Amino acid sequence: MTFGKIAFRNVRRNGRRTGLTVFIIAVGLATLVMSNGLYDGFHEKMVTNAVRIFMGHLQVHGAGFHANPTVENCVEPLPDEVRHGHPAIAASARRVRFQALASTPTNSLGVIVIGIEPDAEAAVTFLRRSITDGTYLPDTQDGRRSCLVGETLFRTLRLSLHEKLILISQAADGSLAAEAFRVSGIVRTGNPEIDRSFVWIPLAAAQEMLAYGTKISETVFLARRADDVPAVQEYLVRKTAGLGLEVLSWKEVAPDIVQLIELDIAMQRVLMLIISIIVGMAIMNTMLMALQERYAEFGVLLAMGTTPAQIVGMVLAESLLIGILGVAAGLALTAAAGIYFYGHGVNLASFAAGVAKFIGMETTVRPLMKPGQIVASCLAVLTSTTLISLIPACRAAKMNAIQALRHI
Amino acid sequence: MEQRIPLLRADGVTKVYDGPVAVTAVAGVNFTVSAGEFLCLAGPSGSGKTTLLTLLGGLDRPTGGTVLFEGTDLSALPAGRLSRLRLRRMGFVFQELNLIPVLTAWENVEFPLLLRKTPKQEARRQVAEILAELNLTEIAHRRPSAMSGGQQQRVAVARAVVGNPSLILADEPTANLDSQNAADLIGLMKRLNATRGTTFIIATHDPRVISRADRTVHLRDGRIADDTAAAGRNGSGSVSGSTGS
Repeated sequence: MTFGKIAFRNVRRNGRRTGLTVFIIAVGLATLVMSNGLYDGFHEKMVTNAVRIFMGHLQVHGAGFHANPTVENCVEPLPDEVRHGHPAIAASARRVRFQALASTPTNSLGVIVIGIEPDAEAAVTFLRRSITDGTYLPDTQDGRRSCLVGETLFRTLRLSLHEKLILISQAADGSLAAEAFRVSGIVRTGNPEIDRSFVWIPLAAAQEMLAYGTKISETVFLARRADDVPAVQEYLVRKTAGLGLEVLSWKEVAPDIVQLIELDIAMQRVLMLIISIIVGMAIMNTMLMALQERYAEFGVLLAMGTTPAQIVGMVLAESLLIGILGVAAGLALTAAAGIYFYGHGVNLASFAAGVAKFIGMETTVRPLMKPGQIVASCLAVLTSTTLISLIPACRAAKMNAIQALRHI
Repeated sequence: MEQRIPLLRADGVTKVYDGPVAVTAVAGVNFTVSAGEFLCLAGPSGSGKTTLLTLLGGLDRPTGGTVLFEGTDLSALPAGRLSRLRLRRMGFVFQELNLIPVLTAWENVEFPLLLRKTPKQEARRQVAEILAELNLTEIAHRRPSAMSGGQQQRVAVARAVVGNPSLILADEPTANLDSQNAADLIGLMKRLNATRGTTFIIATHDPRVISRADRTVHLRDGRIADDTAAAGRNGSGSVSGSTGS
């Protein structure tokens, strides 16, 4: 017989109260883990969408292009052995990017034109699957004068499929370039800015239009995993040293996303703290009630010679046991909720219409359960239950045996 | 004539409870208790017998005077050492709610031995022995809620004497028992006193207990009013008591 055994039996002593406390801990833990999972899922979706809609994990362009994307800032493409030279590089695509005036017989609008290699671009971004009508750019000479137009822009310019669209821009040599393209497809990425102002044309046509020769504006890279980005960036920086290029990760290209995630993480921590306090208060309440009921019992224990440290240990063991039961029930609840939400997802657009602006095309988020995160949540709950139980435990240990016995 | 060894000595023991009006529960009590005595602290309610009992057992500290147990001044001992001394050298029986409700009779009796870190086999032997001696083997695996009041008090006595402490302090142990159970309990304590030589100090106003005591110290208003050794029963006169004031 040990103090653990006494603690275990005391936990069973008032089943209803223990059950209620276990339930509160379980719901608290499940809420914590699920909200963390949904936050992480939301972040992953947001980053994945941002990366796969246009940005890529990494961009390599001439120094200063990101801050000031001028037509003159063009560079020789990276050699193939550099583009494919790291095992963590999943795909890469070369692009020409410039501003132009898009003109139809009835309308004109400033747009951003992206010259792409259709197949390579489709390997890096979701562009091919974002076609809502018409066809993707063919990767042949026949498609040289085809273009894709963002859905909102398509409507604004009152275009129709296969209609002619004139793009007018300044070329790298200072001359005025104007080319006609036929609209082959409509693109809906879900990102309002892209859908409102982007036009995609074949890379060769863009190079010809801007008198680039073989030069390009940028090369975008997709890493095999998000965690590989630093290694690939380090590799590209090393390989392009002295070439006057900048190698930027998605975090540098879109710092607003990073800030949003950091803000969310801060909110997650606040939520974790609040839930830990609620759970802690629940268990403290339980232990204080138990203490009140067993006042005389503690008096007998103290009179017999049980040391204050042993009394503290007994109370802590009891609350730790309730905490463990709560965590076990919480994990079961989390598993059930996780299965449901993973299957059905949570459509954030139904909560906030503007969410698409952040996460792009796909607004349904599924929880991302990270084992480390789950373990941290369980430990947070157990730690808070144990720490807060120190209050009733110390109160029990400091009891005057005589006063406790007179409490009978 | 053989002189008994003084087990316990109270010198001018006083207990005053502070408050808006200070209450003197025990006032300058002097007396000694020899090893092997069966002594009652008697007196009406409010006479200070329970307070004196707790002071003698080191459960509370006097506001004046000293309590020497086996030569050690209890009031000078730090709390930890006092706990250990109580654990190893004393046993307690209270009026009610004596037992830990979640433990069986066996486990309740075994509990102080575990606190003393007695080896498991030895603890089992001692528990089995005392339960058998007190005819409690049949209810060894019952929890207190499944025992009668008399059985609970007998288990409490078993727990108090297991490990052979030199002193047992009991506070109104028969208060909630019917005549038969009270008589059984008194008989039991007397037997343990005789066979094991364990000293008993019992705070009570139950005449059934007082009539069986070797010596009765009567208290009134926190002072010793009378200290009588029963004639023909241990009345050697080797014990003495007085109020120091």
